[in-house]
Amino acid sequence: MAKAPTARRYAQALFALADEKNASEAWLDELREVKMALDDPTVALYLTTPRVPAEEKLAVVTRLCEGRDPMIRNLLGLLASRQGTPLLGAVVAEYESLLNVRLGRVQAEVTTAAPISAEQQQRLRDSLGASLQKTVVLDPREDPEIIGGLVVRVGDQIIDGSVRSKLVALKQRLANESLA
Amino acid sequence: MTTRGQDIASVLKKQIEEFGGETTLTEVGTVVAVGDGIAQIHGLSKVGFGELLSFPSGVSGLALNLEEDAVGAAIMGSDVGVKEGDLVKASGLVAQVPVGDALLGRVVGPLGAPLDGKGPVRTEGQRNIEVVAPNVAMRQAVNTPVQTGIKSIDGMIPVGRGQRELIIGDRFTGKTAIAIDTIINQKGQDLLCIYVAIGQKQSKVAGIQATLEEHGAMEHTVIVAANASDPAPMQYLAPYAGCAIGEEFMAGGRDALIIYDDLTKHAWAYRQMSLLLKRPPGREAYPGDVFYLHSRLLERAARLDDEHGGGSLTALPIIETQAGDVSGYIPTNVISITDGQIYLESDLFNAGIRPAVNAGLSVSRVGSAAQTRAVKKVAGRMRLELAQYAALASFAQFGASDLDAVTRAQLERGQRLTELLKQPQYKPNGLAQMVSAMYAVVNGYMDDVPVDRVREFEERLVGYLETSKAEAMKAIDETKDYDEATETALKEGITAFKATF
Repeated sequence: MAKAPTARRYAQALFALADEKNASEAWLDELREVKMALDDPTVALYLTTPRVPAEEKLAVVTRLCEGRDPMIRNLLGLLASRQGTPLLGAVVAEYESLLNVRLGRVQAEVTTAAPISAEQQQRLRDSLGASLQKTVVLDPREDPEIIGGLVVRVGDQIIDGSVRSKLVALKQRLANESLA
Repeated sequence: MTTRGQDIASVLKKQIEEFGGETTLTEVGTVVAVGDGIAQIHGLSKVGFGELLSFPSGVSGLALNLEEDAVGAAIMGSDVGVKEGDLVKASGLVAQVPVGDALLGRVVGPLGAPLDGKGPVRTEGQRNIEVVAPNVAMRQAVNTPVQTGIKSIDGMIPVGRGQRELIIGDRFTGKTAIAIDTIINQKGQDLLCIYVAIGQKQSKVAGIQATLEEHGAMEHTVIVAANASDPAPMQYLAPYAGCAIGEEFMAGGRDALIIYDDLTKHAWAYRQMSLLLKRPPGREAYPGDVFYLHSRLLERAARLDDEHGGGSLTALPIIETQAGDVSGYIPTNVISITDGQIYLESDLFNAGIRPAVNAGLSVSRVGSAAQTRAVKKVAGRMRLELAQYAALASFAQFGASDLDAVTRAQLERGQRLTELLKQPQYKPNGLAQMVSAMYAVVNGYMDDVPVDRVREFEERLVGYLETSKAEAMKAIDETKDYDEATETALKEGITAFKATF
């Protein structure tokens, strides 16, 4: 797990730069786009294989980042020259969390069995926001396996109101509890 | 059957009514790596040290390494069902064990799960497995003896209630036997016993349970077992769990005795966990805090003052040495923590001196404060005489014929004392039996009994006294002392018996 601290350092450095230039939000979008391009397995392999000389990788990365902010290009160049492109995903995630902290925003992963309506989403956003004292960005997901109810995950914390976990708890209690 | 059926139905009804309940905010993390009973977990950023975690497979874990991005957790159970990507939940609780009288007579695991097939353990309370030991202001001096029923121990190395007395020796020198005899001797007395088996063969634990049951000693005993096949974290927790069970008795103003069999294996289990958690190894590859591992455990043995109920918890830790080497890392640690040690030797054991207690190297730092007055009166000279005998015995090898009468008398007395201190297993002596036998030898009544008949003499003498001088014997048992009248009765009895021997 040496990956996470390294990525965090890169993200902190980049975020500080973005701050100076007042471009933190715009850079996040750019970073996401670049990451999408790099997620392609062929590109990823090309950028990590030691058989390709560093200069060549640098040239490819520069071309890839054409039209983007020069700092994004520099970050990619730096990562590519250090065999660090696989870190990019983690760097983007860290960058995003730094930005979220700055803006008082939290990302909430909401899992439901069936899709939820825009109005339900709004209510959820309001009530979560009220209890967390933050602006909530919802990330809705669907998973029929939870049977019903919903599971909200904010960072390392989870609010599990799913029917599945309640059934599991009931099963455990019925098995454990004495009949005395 | 119908009542039981209705019972079940009503419980189910209640549980179904309560189904759902509250949803609470839980701290979670994701398993990133698992192996050798250790899981690396990403997340769990607010988890506490020693907090219980639950894995989706149903096993629980213990958060032991808190790092910037990851938590290292020991899995308390099988790691087979734990996979990468599993969601781990923090419980917000530290490890606890059920405590109370319902545990007496039972064999349980380190987390209180019954292992003896006698159904669920219905206890009232729970106690934290790890607690801070009672402080100075809550304690009082050790002043009441633990009667082990073993003459050589009660006579020379008395153990007091609240004391920590180490039993140390090579394998197969009778360490466990001393512990078991001590438990058996508490039958019908007020001392509750806890036997903690750490990393032992299941067959041995089953054997001990059977022995205790056979001697009617399970009624006042709890066995806490983490066997050799249990994962290291369970073996690590077992002594603390046993201690918590004992502390419940102590807090209730009662006296309890706990045996840790053995702390060598406990240190091994902790070493394994520490190395797998990637903590740096130190001497003999033990982690740096292996001293604290045992000191915090043994500090929990205490005698509380009257304000706190006056209960006590006596600890008898056991350490196994290799080839009599007491200078190993773990033996020296535990020797320095405890209030004395009972040192058992293979040479003595093989020479037929059983229990194989080495009287010279064994000490009890609490001393005669923890001896009953009756034993103190007869045993006071015993230790000195034995020590003198040991010094003279080496001379005697060159032929006893040239020795002067005083030396010869000392040798004769020493031989008889040594013979008297031999004691078969599972036959702990009552106080009166012990006192009368010691009285006879110390006062020279056995000097003219042939050495090889000393044990026969003792056995028959005690039998005789119990029938013909029952009142005197009863007085010793009750007052734990003997007055002049009792002493006269003893003398009369011994003289009368000698005439028939």
